[in-house]
Amino acid sequence: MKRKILILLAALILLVAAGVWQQLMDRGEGKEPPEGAIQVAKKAQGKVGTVSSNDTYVLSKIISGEARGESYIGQVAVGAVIVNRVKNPNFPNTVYGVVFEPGAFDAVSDGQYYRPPAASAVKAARAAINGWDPTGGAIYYWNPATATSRWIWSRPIIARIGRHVFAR
Amino acid sequence: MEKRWTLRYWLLPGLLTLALIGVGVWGYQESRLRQELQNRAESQYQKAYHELTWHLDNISGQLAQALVSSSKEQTVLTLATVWRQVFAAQSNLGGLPLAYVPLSKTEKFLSDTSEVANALLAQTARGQATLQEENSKVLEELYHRSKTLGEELSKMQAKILSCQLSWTQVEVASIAGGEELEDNTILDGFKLMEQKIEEYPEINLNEDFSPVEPEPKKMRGKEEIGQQKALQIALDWWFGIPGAHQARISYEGVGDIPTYGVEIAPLREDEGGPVYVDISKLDGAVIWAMKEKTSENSKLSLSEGEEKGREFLARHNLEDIVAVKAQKEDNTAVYTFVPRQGEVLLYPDQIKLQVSLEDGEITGYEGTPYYMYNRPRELSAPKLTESEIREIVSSRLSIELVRPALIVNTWGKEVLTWEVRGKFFEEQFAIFYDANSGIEENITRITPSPQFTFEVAS
Repeated sequence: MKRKILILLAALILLVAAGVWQQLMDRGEGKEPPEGAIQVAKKAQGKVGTVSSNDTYVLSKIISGEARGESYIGQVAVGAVIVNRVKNPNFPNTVYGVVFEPGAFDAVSDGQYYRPPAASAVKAARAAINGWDPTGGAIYYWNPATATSRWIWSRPIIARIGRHVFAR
Repeated sequence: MEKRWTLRYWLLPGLLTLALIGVGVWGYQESRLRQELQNRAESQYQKAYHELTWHLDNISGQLAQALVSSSKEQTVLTLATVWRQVFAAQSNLGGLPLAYVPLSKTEKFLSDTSEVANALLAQTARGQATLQEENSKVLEELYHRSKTLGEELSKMQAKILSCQLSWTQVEVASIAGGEELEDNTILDGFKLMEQKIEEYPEINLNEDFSPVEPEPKKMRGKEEIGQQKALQIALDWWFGIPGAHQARISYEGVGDIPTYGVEIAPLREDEGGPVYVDISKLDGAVIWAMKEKTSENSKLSLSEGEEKGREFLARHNLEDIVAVKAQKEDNTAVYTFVPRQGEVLLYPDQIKLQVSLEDGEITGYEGTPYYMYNRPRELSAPKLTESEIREIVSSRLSIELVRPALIVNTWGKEVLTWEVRGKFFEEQFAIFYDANSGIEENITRITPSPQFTFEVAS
């Protein structure tokens, strides 16, 4: 009986020690990307998309993260807002600058951006970058159910598509 | 007996203590990791902020320098520096977590300054000796604004440095609270700066500095068409022959062109997704249309796809039209078509089409520029002939094509030009020469970008 308990105790101590050890090792060797672009590039099997510019790829990823579950037109609309921002003098001049503006998009903050894009988002990005704009020139959009900014409501709304409202 | 009892007695507390220590170590590691990442983010923000302050100080200095300079050399160098500093300041501002702080006037100041510096550089390059009186006035106005912005930023900088204000703490608090912070020294500082700049009157940049918006064609209708009419137009336009498809208005746009967004549901599964057609409320014209379609393979070549596009446009009375760009991605081709007036290509009136190369189905039509600008132009015969233009073109460009074209130049004006397309090593260019003066109005790189593939979520 005594030996059994001792063995159990030793096993538990080992387990905890292993857990702590792993944590320590993780810090040293934590160079493996969590769930992101680098891995995506590595495994090329399965469904693939083709684009002729990195802009379209980045755009498809942000659309995928921001407009998951939206209709096709709702996805194009989100892409069009980003394209409109790039053209607007009050926003950064590249797709990258607009997408990675700190705090500008929830999908970038919460990490959804780093997943592979949905196939429909790639098509939506291609349409948006080529000028299709269902919003008629919007540079803001938000989901009225989850938006936390009060300031955003001061923008003039020009379209409602799916769950999002679009504004200038 | 006694001993066994003691061991049993201490077993559970012992295990719990061990678990607690384990969790404690883990938690400590986690919080240290988070702190380290937070510090790294903080340093990015600090760098962006301090550089922004530094650049603004330089911008006001350089603007003043341009005003006191009396030589062309110094003016050009100074303006180029202003332009570069503004670019850097814009990038710094874009790197700060101020996405929901209204800073439109500050951003407007930066883009105005950039435009003015660029325009004056172009003027000086064209041979103007020094700044003219009215240009100096604009620079002076920009100077006062930059001074105000710079002062506010420096005041804030002093506070950030002396009170150890942290950008990431603002962010952490806002993430934890689930909303923006209303009361924060840094954000307040930026809001105050925006207010200060708002007190200045708006600078109206005339066409010397800022491109004029091309004048849109007068809209044709006066009364709005009804919803029923819009549905009918959309169905007829997309399908040609009336069928059993049902359409509904899925949204209304109130942007530059008020529109009805018509959604046509598919009848059968193999039709794919719904078709969207955007119809202008005022004259019932189709602005754009699109449909989601997955093309599994390419049975058609790019030129066969172009033919399908042409047939589609011809059905909508767009006959005399030239494809100026074709691009293939994911078995789908995107074509840019430009209508012609006589021999002259009308670049401002372009139409884009997406065509599936699997079966030639049209999956997108984008005619906003065509709707806005297409009209008969008064075009005089070009003063320079094609062979005269070939003389002007750089000998480094191997010419592939020369044709007359109407373009919108950098300043937003329509100019009749000769378009020259050619190659230089791997690069392809379209160069536009004013058909009357021979001035090189625009050089556009049209080298197709390399394609690459990536995984998509299924």
